[in-house]
Amino acid sequence: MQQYYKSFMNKQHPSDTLLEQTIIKAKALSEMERNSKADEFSVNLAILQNHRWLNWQLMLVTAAMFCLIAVGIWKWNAQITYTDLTKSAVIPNSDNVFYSKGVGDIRNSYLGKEKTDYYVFDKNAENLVVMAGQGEITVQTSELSDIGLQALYQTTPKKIRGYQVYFGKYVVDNKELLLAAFVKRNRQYYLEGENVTEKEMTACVQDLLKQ
Amino acid sequence: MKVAEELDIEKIIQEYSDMVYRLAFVYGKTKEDAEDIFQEVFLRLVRYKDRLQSREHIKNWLIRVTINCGKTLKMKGLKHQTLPLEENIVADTGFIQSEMEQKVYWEVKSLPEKYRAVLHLYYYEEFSIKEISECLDRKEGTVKSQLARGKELLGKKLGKEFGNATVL
Repeated sequence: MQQYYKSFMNKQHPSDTLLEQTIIKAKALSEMERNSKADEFSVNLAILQNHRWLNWQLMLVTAAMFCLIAVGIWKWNAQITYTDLTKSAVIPNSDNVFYSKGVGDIRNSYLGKEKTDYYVFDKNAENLVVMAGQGEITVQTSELSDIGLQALYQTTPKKIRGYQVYFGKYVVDNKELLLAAFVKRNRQYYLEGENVTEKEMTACVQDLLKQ
Repeated sequence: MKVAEELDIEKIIQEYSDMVYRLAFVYGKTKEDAEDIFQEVFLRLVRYKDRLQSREHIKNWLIRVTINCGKTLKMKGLKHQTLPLEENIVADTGFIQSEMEQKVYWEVKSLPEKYRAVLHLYYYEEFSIKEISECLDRKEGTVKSQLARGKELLGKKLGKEFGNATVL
């Protein structure tokens, strides 16, 4: 029986028309698929390029944000604050120690140097008074390295124009005095501002540092 | 090897057309069904050529797809203007089919689907049990039992014509 089955099947062939039509359809489909893959490729490429562009945008935005944050931090660090030294300034209680309760009495001369935790006077100090706004700033320059209110030198200095500058404020007799100190060309500068704003005080310091 | 890129569709159609057509004939109710299956198989080859692992894989793939298309066609219940099978075959093939040939074919065709493919591949394409199991993704034991069962059923149907002699 196997031979009958084989014999029957051997006679079965697809017609030439069927073959031809199938080949035509298959080729057409193949071409379509190829074109659609090219389109798909182009679309994917566009998406990828868009992605790259988006990535660039993201990177730019991120970098800009970081810059802003960095600038903010820098500015915050650079921000000048006048530390309140009223409580931290200690007035020593000793006969051997010269002290001045009134910090503003810097013009008092003092024979000999007496170093205190509170104040150091330098009789050789040069004094300059700078008018600023409604008040005045007294600029004392001295060869001594630690003139003025010693508590000021315990604060964290700010760097201005490469110089370490100490800023502070002190309230005495209901008056606020702004203080600043720095060393320039081996001379100690000590500033006391009375009735001036922090902005005016800072501007004076910057001017002196420019000179 | 990227089979998809190297595929010469026309060449493959020419090479496997008889095999696919004959298997389609086993599954299609009519000649038109067989032609539909035939065309669908090669169009699927174009569509899914990326799935081909190697050129050797093509033959088995075509056989499996032909069987699947045959099942799909049956499920869809595609209706063509039908002629009695004998007239259909004689008119279109141009060959004179002997009565016995047609009877044997018809009985094989009337078997449940799972036996048809196995019998056809075994007796006509002369596949081994192992090749059939790989092609149809069935266990060898399953193929053996299906082959045996198919022969048994054929034997019962065609036993009268061939007496008590071994049917296949």
